[in-house]
Amino acid sequence: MQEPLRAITDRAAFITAVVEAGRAHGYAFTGEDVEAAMRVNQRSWLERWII
Amino acid sequence: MNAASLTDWVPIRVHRQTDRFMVDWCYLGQERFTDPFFEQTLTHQLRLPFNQLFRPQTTLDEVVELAAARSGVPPAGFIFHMSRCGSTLVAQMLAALPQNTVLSEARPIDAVLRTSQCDPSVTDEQRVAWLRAMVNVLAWPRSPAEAQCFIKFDSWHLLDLPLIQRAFPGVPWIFLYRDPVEVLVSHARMIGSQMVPGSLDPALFGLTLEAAAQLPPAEYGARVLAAFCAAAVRQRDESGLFIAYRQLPEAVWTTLAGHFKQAWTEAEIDRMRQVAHFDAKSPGLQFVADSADKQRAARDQLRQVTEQWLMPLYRQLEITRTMADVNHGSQQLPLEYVRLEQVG
Repeated sequence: MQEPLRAITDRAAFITAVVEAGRAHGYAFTGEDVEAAMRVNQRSWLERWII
Repeated sequence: MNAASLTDWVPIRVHRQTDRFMVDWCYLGQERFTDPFFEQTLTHQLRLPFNQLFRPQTTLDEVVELAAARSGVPPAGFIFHMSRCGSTLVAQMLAALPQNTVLSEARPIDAVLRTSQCDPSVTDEQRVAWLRAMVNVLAWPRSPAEAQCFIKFDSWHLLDLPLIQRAFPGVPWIFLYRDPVEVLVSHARMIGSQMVPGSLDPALFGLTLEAAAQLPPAEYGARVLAAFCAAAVRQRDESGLFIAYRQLPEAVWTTLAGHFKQAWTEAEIDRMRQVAHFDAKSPGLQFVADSADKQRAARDQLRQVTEQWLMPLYRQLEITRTMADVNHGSQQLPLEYVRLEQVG
């Protein structure tokens, strides 16, 4: 499942693909859910100087 | 998580979560660490939406299990340095060869070494185990060509050399140094994090945080660099080699090659020689020698603190390096040393 997602560089296209992949595997999360998770990870990277 | 599922992934961050140290991972694929710094390679990878969403986590103890399940390429040499002295050039030259994995100031390694600072209950034994494991997984081979790794540590990690040697006994190491005036001028122009009072424990330099904050920046910086140089002099053993900035780049394919037990072909040396034509930190730019410029730029106060805190150590580094080079046969004993010998 991951390999096709890795190849997508456009953020909007990626989020759409993740939602569709989730739906195909029986999950019902939204694009907003995906965006939120990405923001959490981006913030944790910005906080990387804190152990 | 198991080693198979994390193939092609790399640890990017270590952080404390309640009572455990957690490790975030990022997908790296077949990318090699060819950027001047580890973090730059990660920054490229983290631009991908996939890596912004998928961020597996393990504990540090799980990293130990992962390392036991799958071996990384072994460390062949360690690069320690006083900062702003050609260490990135050395790392870039080594990274130019496809058989080398070069970890240049990798944040997860620094984080492991600092775990005891944020949790005093962490023992040296734990840090040794975590350090071995972290280096192992960072050095998981990403191509069939990769056969060994070199680690360029952060400048302050020389203060952890005894623990690093416990984790990796027998691995040869070098200490790169430069005329301290030129190093301090570099930091005056663009300060390194280690030169900011409080970023490292001021007690390492015989200071309280209050005293460190009140020192002129050049003096605090001189005392930081002095601690690094003193550690190199104090801890040099048969596995350590001093290399001066002005010996670069040739020393990489001569004295360093012998010390790290490397037998490079002429084509490989030529590839490294080509790397040395470019600025190590900005590989798109041509290298410009700047020692004379930095000497001219040094102000009296900077020279005064350099003389007070660093020049005696610099002279010790030079003498030790010169005598080692003479014994190795790569240099003749300077005339002033011959005269000293004759005086007895």
